Amino acid sequence: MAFLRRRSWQGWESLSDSQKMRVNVKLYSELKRYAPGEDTVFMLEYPPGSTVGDLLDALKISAEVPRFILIDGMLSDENSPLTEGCTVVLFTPVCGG
Amino acid sequence: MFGWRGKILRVNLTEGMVHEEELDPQVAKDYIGGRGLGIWLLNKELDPQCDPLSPANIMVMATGPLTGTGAPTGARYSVMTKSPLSGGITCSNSGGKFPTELKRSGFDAIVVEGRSEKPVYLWVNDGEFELRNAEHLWGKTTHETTIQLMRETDAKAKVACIGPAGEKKVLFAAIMNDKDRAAGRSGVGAVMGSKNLKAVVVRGTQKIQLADPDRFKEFNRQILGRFNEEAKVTPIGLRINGTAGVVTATQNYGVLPTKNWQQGTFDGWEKIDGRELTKTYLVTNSACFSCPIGCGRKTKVDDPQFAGEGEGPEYETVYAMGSNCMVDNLAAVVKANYICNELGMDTITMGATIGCAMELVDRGYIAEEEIGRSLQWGDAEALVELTRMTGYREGFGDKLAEGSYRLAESCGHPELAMVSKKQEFPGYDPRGAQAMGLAYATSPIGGSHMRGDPAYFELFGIPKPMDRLAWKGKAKPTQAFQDHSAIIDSAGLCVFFTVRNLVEKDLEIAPTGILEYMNAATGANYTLEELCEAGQRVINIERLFLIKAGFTRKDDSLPKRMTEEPMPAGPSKGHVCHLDEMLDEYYEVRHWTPDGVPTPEKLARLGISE
Ligand code: SF4
Repeated sequence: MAFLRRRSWQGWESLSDSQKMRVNVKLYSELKRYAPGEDTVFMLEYPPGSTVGDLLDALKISAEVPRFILIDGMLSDENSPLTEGCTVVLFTPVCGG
Repeated sequence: MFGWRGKILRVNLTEGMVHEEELDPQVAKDYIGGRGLGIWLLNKELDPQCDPLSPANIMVMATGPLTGTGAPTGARYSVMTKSPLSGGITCSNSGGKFPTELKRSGFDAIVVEGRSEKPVYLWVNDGEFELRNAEHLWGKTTHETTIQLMRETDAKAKVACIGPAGEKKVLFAAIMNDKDRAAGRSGVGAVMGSKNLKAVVVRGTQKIQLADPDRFKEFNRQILGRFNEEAKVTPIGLRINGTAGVVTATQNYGVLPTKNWQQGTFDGWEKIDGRELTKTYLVTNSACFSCPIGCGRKTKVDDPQFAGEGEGPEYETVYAMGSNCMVDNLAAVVKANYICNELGMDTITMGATIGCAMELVDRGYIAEEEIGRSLQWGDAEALVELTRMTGYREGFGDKLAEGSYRLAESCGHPELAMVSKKQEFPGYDPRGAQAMGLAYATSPIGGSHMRGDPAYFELFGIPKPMDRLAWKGKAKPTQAFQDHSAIIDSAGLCVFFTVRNLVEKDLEIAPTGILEYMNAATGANYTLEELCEAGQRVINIERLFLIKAGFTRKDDSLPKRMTEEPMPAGPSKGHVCHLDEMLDEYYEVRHWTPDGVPTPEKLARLGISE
């Protein structure tokens, strides 16, 4: 389990359990390298109201890095809200068939 | 003519005669070329009721006006004929270098009729042509045939040929060109085999004349400039991991067909993903003529059990032979792919048929004694061995050679074949990508992603994202994408580049990028409306052919597994495909009757006479 610190959320660690959202994160393909630790599948905790953008900032995935963002299997974007227990999957865009 | 060559080569194999015909400029404009030209010819000349493997069937190989012009991915040709797998029309297309060479040899298309008494091949050399004996090539693999024919004709010649599978009329035999590129689907190779035509060999040095070379060059500069700029910041997924990279997407959407489509996720997916392919087996990329992407994979397997060298696999192969059979051994999938290429077979139908056989065994509908070996989920060795046996119709391979529908039907369980119009699906479970189900059901050739691929907007967000689970309002974009595909296939372009770079965000607008290329190349002064109509003309005339061959709304179908059994787990859990609802909407937007028949008004508007 990895817990990331973020300056703008100073004090979030003092949030009570009910105020934290647990977010499952899975990184694949070229985005694996942004994993905060060894594991490319991990969990983070966020205060309510956080978005995918916050998650990307925390992982230092800048805007230029091409990515597909799936929240619970649905194509999403930076502005999509994170929800308690959701799974965010990030990977390099693909297409073809 | 500009863009087009203006010439068609007609081959009558029964009489052993070959002659040239003029291409009517109006027909060229109205039907574009490639797939459109093919269906125009077949609608005029082919009896829709004929036995597809009889001499009465006709096979058209047609390039498009942009093939070989230097337009990006203008590399493709289409093979059109009556399919022995579906019993309807088919169109299977391929890239590589053969199509460009065919056009440079002086012809837009080759029409093949009748049946030769003995195996022959057609040799076209810069406007000259002859049929030659091919008895010495019969039984040879596609690679052996290609090498031998280049030796016999010209070291620079390009070859499209069949392997043993086509000779033995495996119902999903492919026509392979440039060794490893396939007009793979619907058994076009079986039709070629039934005609005793082993190969078409072409050599050409004639440049393709463009109507306005400056305008063409300038537009090319713009499009490629933009493409290369974007590629600098956005690595091109297709270039990095080939189409096999799609496994990551389908797995995480929960639409990766697994265990003969009983599941939408596969535990072993990372072992068969494009990243693994790149890391472990990729030698180098390969590209079709004039393609800036290069999605092809030259690969090599050292593992002694599955050792080999060749091209592939594509995503579709990885799903069909991998997750669908629960095989997580990528080396085995690559090897089975090589065998398909060398024997000349479609990897999708091959894998899907083995997956179906595995389920039939699992449920006790086929005894392993009948197969002559074990056939359990995930059996990598069985995958490779049965693929080989199918190509030669050896033992149980003879049954597999008929495809999954006939196999499952012979066991009394046709519902276990994952097909539409008896053709196996590509790898996107429509329970989690609704429009994909509509596209499978209404594709003229049966289960296919190449006749309109809503996965682009439902899963890849191209040209703009759409909710993959919604079914209301999906008819329109699906219809639009199908029309686009008809234009792309007819022009001689590749879908992969075109939908990203030459179409509008609003799919309801005809592809403006193609329009510009077409006009600069042909000088035919298409309006956007005319181009759009040409695409619709192709779709409607194909539909007409199907109706005459006896197809009705009930054939625009999906197996019950897709429409009645909710996805059991994963990100698409609980969903079924709402085909019926989408179908009503679809016929309406197409101006077809509720039974799926084009209305006379629609046909009249498109200038199609029955
Ligand atoms: S994207 Fe792939 S299939 Fe399409 S033209 Fe390029 S190399 Fe060929």
